[in-house]
Amino acid sequence: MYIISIPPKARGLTEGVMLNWQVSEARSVEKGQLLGRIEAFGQLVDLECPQSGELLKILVGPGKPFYGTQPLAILGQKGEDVEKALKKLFPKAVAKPAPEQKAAPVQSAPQPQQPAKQEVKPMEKKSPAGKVVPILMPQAGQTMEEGTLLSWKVKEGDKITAGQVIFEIETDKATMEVEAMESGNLAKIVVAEGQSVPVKTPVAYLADSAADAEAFIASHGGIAVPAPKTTQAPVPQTDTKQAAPVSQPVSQTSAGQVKASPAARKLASEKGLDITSIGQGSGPGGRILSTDLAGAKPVAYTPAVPGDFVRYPVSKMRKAIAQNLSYSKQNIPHFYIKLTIEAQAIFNLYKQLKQKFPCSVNDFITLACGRTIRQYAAFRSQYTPTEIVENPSVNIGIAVGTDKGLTVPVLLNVDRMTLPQLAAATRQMAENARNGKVEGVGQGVFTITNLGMFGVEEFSAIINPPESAILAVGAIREDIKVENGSIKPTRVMTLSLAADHRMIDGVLAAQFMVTLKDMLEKPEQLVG
Amino acid sequence: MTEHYQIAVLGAGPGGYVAALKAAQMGAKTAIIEKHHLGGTCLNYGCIPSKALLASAELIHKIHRAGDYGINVSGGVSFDWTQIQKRKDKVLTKLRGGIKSLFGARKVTLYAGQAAFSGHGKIQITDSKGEKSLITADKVIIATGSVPARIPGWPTDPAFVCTSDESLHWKELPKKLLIVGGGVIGCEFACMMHEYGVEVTIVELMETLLPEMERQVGVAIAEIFSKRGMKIHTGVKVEELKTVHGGIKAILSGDKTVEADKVLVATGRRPATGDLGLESIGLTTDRGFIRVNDRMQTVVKDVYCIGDANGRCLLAHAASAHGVAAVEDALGHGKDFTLPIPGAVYTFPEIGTVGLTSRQAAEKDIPVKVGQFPIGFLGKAMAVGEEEGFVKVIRHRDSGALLGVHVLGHNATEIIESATAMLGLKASAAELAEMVFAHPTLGEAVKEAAEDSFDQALHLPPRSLMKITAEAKEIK
Repeated sequence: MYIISIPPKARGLTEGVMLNWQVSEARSVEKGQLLGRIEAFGQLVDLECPQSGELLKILVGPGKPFYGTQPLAILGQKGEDVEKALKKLFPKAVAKPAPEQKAAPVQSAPQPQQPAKQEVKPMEKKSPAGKVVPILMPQAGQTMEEGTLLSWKVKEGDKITAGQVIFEIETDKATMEVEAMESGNLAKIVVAEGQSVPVKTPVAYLADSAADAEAFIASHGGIAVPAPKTTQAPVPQTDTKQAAPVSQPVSQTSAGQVKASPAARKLASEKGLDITSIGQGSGPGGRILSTDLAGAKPVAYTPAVPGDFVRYPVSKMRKAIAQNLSYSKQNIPHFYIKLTIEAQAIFNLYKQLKQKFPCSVNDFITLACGRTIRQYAAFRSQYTPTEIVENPSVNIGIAVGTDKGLTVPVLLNVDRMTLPQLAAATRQMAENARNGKVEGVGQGVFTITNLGMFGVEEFSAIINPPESAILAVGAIREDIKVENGSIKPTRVMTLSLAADHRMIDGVLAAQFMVTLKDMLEKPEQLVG
Repeated sequence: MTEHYQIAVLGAGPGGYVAALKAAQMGAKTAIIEKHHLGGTCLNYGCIPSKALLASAELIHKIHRAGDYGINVSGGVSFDWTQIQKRKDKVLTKLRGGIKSLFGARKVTLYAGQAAFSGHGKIQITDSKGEKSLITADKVIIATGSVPARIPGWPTDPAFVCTSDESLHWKELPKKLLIVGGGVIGCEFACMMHEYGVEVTIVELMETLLPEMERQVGVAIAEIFSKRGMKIHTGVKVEELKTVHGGIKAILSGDKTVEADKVLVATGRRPATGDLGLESIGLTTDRGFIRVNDRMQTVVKDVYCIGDANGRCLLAHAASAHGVAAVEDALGHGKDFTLPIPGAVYTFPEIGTVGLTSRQAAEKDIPVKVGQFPIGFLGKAMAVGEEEGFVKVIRHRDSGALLGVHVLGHNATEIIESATAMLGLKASAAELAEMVFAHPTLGEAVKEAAEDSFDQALHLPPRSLMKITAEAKEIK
């Protein structure tokens, strides 16, 4: 048998880490075959087999470091006794103890609708001497944290046999009988009837004598015996004298943030896990590490995050808007007429004119409204129970949204303006409104409100008292029309009129809209 | 009329004095008892004097290289050993005074004398005149430290066979020095004595110098020392030592002989707990070490042990950390002490290390990935002419957890602090690799090495693939 190592003369290769083995133990290998790869400083080294045979044993596994010509593996012939070689190579080596016997699995109790008697085998721990065996409060169910010992079926000094029911417990879910895992002498009972203890706490000991059991208890640092419960309520206690509850308070920094490493946060966010569901992490001060995420719950979807309500004082503007528009909605009988007009002409004209002076499509609408309102006196009149009041001036309010709220500055005598005049006046007025300077308030007879710049196609507005109507303007949008049996692309815009039926009737409103439509579809009239 | 204290500390070394200051800071009435100088081994016979002597030695070493920097030192270099010792003594005096004034400021009561238990909570103090007094205390912290071990059977004349206690305060330098023990103390002494013109031979039992540390570090420092002219024998034992006229003669395994004026025994230290009256409180020791748990509690209630005396980690900063842990527990705020403790070796180039070595990781069956970066590749290293050494980062192969960092290089003892901090926070090697390190510094090599552990170091070319045929050696 042969030791496989890196050749002593390998330049620069004084130590390394086995990255992987390409051949498993007990496999035959040929001369020149790739055995495995080594990571070293500045190099990856493919290690080739020097002679054919069988790879009897790998001594330095993947991820393990080695130094110099340290033996990496043993090569030999099939059937050779590799233990002999190991003894020669490592005469002082002590065999690693076999992994500890895992405790017998507990049958998890099914969740009964009513408390039912279930049988549960307690978890056993083998003591090193083998003579004193603690009997533990079983964990019957993943979420069980403690159980109440209802009654003992045996007493100290009894000989018990494996499988015998020795006590009865109550958890928050069920009452269960507990069987003994081993036969023996029940030397000492340490948890009395009615007592509640955390899961996996010893409740009694099997031993030759009570003295043995007591010595065992003493050598294991004594047992923390919780005070007996006075009631039999199944609700688990939250006293701190019990063992620490399973979920501990989340460790937080003074800023209220959960203490977690950046790697843990990143991993949790990538996997959609809620980092606050972990409780204490295994890092310093309970810091959550990326290795702690195994127990994390997925982030819960909370449809409404109530949070704390914030209270602000009501501004004057808000109060005014609330008052006016509440009055309007409650007292004015609104009705609505919607008309979609062909906007290609106005669009083209706008494009043309804005080269000459700054203007907007809304300016055309305002001017058109101005001229139409001059014609239709009802649209500049106000209904009162006693009389109708007609305003000779066509004063149109333009709704402007500011970050404080809605204001409606008013352009006076729109019907007497030319388009350029109107455009300039609107511009100035909007500017002033945004700076808090609002003119002509209260003098308007009609309001135009335009949400087209947001892409809104149409909407219904609320009449601004003491006015009798309001026009809501939508965006110019592309559409298709049918003309002489053929389909043509075009541009349209939807206008929605809200009118006070006390003042204006349906037919009149319709006529108003048709006039408006005409003017806007043949906008040359506006410029002339 | 015995004074009663909440906390009594036995020993005023780095463990004891820090514990006393901490206790006083936390509001406890504190007493501290010290039989010699304040500051213990660290201040008087260890850390501080050795660093002072090493500083002078390093300057000599650097002046020899002045030509590299374009500096002419005509006439060569000479040194005045008496002056060097005087300078060292001044540092010691200043520091002792510093501790004393800190005690005064915090109202810690200092007793000069030998302390011994005379029952639970009772400490008897015997002063230099033999006068005895008694104090009582609620809790006692034993911080009596350790002394250098001598080898049984060897001549004990301190003129010839010395330990660090004597060698740091030699009035005259030997011409030839045999250093037995290639650990931290042995290496530091070898390094400095060589610069003072002493012919140095180191004999180490294990295969490499600094056998507890990362193997590569021990091998590298041995190479550096050998190149300078020191003689290194590893894997070799001193079978016999005897005094011959004017000096000593040692016979090593394999029949090699070494002759020298003096021998420095630097094979280890043993705890100084023999004369504390521990029987009166029923406290037994494990070969002199008083065993404690992670809160520095001994098995006897209200008695703690910190520092070298408990054997957990024979380093001054470990003792101080233990001291704080013990005081916090004694005053009701205890928590388990589990932080990583860095190691520092003040040879030139220095060594800084924290966490697991490759061998320790292998013993724990942890799969690793190793990153490495040579100091000499750094701009700063080249610019200041300190190109020796490397940084090695060991991480967990699967989880990426940082396991260990080992630095050989100029200022390694400062460089290691960032790695210790990251290890203490249980950071991953990836987090370390992400951090921004100032440029140009030597510390940058830590970042590069961490990156290399992911095959991502930017200042290294990608690993090249090489094929070699394994060697088969017959097992006889």
